[in-house]
Amino acid sequence: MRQSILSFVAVYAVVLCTSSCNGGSTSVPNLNTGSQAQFKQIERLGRPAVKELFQQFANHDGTNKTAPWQLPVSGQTLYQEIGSFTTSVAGRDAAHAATLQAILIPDEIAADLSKSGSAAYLGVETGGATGGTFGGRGLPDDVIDISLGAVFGNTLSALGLIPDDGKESPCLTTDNVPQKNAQDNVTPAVFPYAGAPH
Amino acid sequence: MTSRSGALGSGLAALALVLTAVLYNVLPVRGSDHQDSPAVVARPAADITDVFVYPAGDNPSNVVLQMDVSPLLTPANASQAALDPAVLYQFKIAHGAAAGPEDMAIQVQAIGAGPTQTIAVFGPFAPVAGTVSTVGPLSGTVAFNSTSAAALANGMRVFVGPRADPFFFDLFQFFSFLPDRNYQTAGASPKAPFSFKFPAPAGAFASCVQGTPNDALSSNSFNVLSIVIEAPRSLIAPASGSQVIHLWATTSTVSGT
Repeated sequence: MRQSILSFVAVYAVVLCTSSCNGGSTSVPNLNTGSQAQFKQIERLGRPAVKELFQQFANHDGTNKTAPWQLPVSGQTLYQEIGSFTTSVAGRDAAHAATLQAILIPDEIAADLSKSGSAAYLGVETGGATGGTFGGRGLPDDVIDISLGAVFGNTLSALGLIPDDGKESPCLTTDNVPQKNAQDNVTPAVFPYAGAPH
Repeated sequence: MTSRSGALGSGLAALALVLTAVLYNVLPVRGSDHQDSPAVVARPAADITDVFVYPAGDNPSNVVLQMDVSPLLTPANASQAALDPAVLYQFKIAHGAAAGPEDMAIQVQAIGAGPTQTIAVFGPFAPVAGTVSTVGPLSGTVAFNSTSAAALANGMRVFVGPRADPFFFDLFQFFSFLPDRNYQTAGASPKAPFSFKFPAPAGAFASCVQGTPNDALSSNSFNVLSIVIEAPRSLIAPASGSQVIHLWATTSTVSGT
């Protein structure tokens, strides 16, 4: 019933708005404000390829229904699985696992809006080593190769974060799929940037 | 002839629907976050595939927040796809040097079903941090799938509609050695050979699997629904506070399913 009421109120607000303010005015009576409808989280996503690489599928639903900053972070299933995957499946040492845990949790994408230049995934965390200090995540960013390099390659030791453990897996350091803006119709200088559908 | 064309058209439409269902349910493409849990497989328009944050290409004073949902839209069904009006879509932002609880949210909710729906945008505002949310103050509305909607009064430009999935990854090779990450083979153990495909493996890669890498999303012409919000940087990170933001996206329903 709450949902029905909310929907009615929302529709009413839009009907009021349509003729006079479609496209931007805030002068519309805001009938949604103060609504007590409680929306419960069923999915979340921050950094790409974190849940997907490190976490068993069976645990995704639980992660999706929690906040990425949930304390203590060391108690998060995702935090624990970054550790266990890195040392067991990827075969890296404990320092490697701990460094990945420290970088990736909380699972939120960092961006420094005071910086100019292009987006570069993990740019804030690495001081610009991935291509710029804005960080964030751009449409062309090869987040898979960046992530694979950090987990299976020598990215972390090359950055001086930890000694090289000598346990790289070269065959897993890239998927060999390059980004092609044209392939996905991306228009980097024209809103809405993401490309027209296939 | 007319009736035959009509019958053929109906048949093709039915076939397209079946193929769409088959593609979504049988062809698992869970990449960055595609088809991430049973809950979102059952409610694909709540299934977040990717989150982006990047400087606006047409105005360096602006920043773009983008959330993609509804994976595996074929060209045929992309034109019919729309947001789920029962879902509250949220960008959540924490400010400061360290990641932490959200102190800002921007919400999107669809009014009505199908591509004629209207998109309501709420915020940015200071939410109650956590996994239970209420709707914030309305900032304005735009038509679904309009690339030319006027900016909202707070300076935000908003687009919601079908876009080519920009994610790129050799998903099927990934599933070949980590089959658990494919929701249809969840629980399976890692499987050798542990390798992506290399066109001409040599040197350090000499032992890798030789083959042609495949971007499963582009090669299958898959689309998503993109929620793109371009906002003044000063709106997302006011000068009085930290310019470092930490971003994630969520989808929520009243029922929690």
